[in-house]
Amino acid sequence: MSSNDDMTIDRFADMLAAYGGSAARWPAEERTRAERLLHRSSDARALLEEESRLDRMLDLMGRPAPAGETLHAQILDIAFGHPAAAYARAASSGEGLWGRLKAAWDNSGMLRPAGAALAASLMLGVVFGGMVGPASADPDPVDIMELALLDLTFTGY
Amino acid sequence: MVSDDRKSRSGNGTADPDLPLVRRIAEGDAAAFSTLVDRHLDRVVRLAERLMASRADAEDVAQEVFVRVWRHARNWKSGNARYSTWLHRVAVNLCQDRLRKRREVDLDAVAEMPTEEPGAEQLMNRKTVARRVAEALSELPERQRIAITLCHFEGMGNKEAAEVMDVSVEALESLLARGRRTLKAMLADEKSHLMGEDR
Repeated sequence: MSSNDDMTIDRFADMLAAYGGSAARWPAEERTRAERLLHRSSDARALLEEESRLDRMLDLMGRPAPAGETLHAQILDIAFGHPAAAYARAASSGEGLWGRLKAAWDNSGMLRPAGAALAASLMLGVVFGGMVGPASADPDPVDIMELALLDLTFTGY
Repeated sequence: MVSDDRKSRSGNGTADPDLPLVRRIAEGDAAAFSTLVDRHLDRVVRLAERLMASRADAEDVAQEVFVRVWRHARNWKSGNARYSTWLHRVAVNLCQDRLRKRREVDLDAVAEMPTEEPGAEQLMNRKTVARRVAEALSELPERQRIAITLCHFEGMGNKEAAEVMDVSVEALESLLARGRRTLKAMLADEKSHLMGEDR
């Protein structure tokens, strides 16, 4: 006996075609109805077996290796190596202006000039944008363009 | 900004576990950043490697994704989606950019992915099929390949995968169905091979 809540064989075939033969990949709201259909329909079971073959082939692809600590460390080095980022971290650690400038300078990759005054003035230029807030990670103009292209926000949802 | 508590809940009504970290990252908290990287790095690398069939490119993409996280945490605006969804969308976009730049995929890299294999003869058989599957996947239209990677390999639910791809669930299902149909046609020979092994 069927009811309006039963899944048709056509709907079952559509869902199989999209999500394959593993129930775990199906939308939760469809699983129970699909299971009921499978209990009473040999056609549905045949479709399931056919589609599951592709799943098994895909599963032969294996799983890429985990990322590893080296990559993790490289990412931190790159992120924290940016002068403005170093300035921001020093600021969040409670460093004074000189400490922040020194942190940024140490991460700038530039040689130390002979005069401290020159160093300070150069660093003011390097981290000028970073002085606005305690954690200045404001994007530079190029990054802003990249962000626009990447559609940074989800406000449209 | 990520200061609005209403927005710490994702579209499905559950709290987004990453938002407290993102707020701390926006304040320059290095430890929070390291924790976020630790939490998501494996999955981002895995996704990128599957999409680009290259470990080196996948690691480059992962670096770029997380450096953006660090540099732009203050600018991130939460909508209804989880932070991890945004992270995956950035990764997918970066992969697509790179794939557009190089049309030829290094199939050897895919075929060499480690698999859980039993012994000798079956191993040869499976490696052959796995290689053909990798080739067939690489020949799929890009968005079909992304849809299958997100849903089949990464186990994403249909709503999250649709958000990552910026399409409706119906469009995602269409991409999945077309991709799977094409794969079945391309892998018809291997299917009988595999069926023999199953018995």
